[in-house]
Amino acid sequence: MRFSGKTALVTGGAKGIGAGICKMLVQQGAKVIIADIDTAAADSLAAELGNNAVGLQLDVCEEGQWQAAIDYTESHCGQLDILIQSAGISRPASIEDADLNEWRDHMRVHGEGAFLGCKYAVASMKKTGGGSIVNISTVESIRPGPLFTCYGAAKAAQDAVTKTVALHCGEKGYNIRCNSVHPAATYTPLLQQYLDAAEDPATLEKIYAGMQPLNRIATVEEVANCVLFLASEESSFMTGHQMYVDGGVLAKPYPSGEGA
Amino acid sequence: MSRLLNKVAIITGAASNPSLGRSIALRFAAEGAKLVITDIDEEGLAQRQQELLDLGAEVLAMPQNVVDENRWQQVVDATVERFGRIDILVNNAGMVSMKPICEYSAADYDLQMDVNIRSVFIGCQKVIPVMAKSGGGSIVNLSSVGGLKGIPNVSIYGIAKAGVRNFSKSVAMEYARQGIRCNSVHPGVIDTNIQNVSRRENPEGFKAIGESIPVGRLGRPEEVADCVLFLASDESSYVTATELVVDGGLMAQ
Repeated sequence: MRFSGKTALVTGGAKGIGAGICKMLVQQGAKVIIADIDTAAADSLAAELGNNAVGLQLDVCEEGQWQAAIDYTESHCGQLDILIQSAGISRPASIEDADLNEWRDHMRVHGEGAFLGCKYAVASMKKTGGGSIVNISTVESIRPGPLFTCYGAAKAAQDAVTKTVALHCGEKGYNIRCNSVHPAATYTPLLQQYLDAAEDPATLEKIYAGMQPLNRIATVEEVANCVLFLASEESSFMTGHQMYVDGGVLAKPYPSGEGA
Repeated sequence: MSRLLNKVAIITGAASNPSLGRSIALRFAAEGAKLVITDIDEEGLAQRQQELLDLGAEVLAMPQNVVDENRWQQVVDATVERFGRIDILVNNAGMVSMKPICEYSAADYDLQMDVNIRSVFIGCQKVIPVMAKSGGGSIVNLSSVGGLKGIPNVSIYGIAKAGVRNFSKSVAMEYARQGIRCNSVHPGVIDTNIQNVSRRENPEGFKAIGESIPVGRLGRPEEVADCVLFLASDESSYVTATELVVDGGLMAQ
């Protein structure tokens, strides 16, 4: 199988896109560490996925927990081959409505989280001949909407980490690749929250779908497919790349759609 | 492996060895695709056809000058006659001739623009209606890092490859609702015959680019083929109007 003999650590792996990635990785032969701040949810998904998955406590903002996660991976699985950073938060607010705490929360989870994840993964992977890091970003880091001051800025910070890690590891000859994936609207629990909070969820869903030239919202599997491609050896000459999985929306001259 | 099982793919510029077109054809064949391969080099094309037949692939080989509109129509018609449909189009045929801007002739300009971008325009025009009729498909156009940044002595190639990038987005926008995805692939320095032209005609530039690749090596044609396969397959079903850069980190700098 495509990931036979590989060990992957997936942050935010218990839910949403992260969970979809964990499922697909296990199906394709990987050993998967489902790292999440919600340990109960991580354990529950691990139980569902069987012997090749295990849940692990990880708050991506805590350096000590990163150290422990890497130690666990090395001692229980031999080595870390793949790191997928999918943990994230997104609470839309304009510059007028967001306060400094919101800004710091977003910067911490996405900026510091990606920084720490890459730092510890590189230290581990360089000892064993290389690996692949995939950071889940967003279309909002490339073209932030007015309500994504904090989220867009934090993801742009994460993007800079991705590129610098790619360049550094290339120059050092570590054989560690680092790329980002940029989804648009995807059917996740977070999207469901937005829809549920709307006065007319069906209309909002149509608006989200209509923003993309493909006129629909992505499934988690469609995003996970792209992540697995970058995690696999099939993308062996790709590093520092930003892969858009956006139904074409970033190629449009404006973000709104016919549903809007 | 069956990631393209029963899909019908046209690949232009498939004859040269080593080349991206050859590697793409081999990869597609290994994944179960039915292939139509074309090239202006008839002898090389016959060799590729035999190579693919030996692997057990279903292959139609057609000599083709991709600049010729009538020949494009014949390729499309023959594909439909043999296989009934077109699911994938890989516009891979291309050429480069290197000179400083002030030394190029108008004929140099016309030839490189014709082979690198007019061909893509005609190919899409001829294939899209057939693709749309069977519910959609995936078009992968080979561009280059030269279509993203300014590289000395390949100005005309750069115009054409930038055109391929933007044209791919136009195709994606116009035909998204008919199930057609279109993306461009941007290889960096890949060890193919086209690099031998570069080595010969622009040795200093070739050396400089080679040294500037962050991962410290040239790419292999197979590594580009894997990217084309991903975009051609249903695994990239939500990916359209975008670029896949396969360059060992060159453009991340």
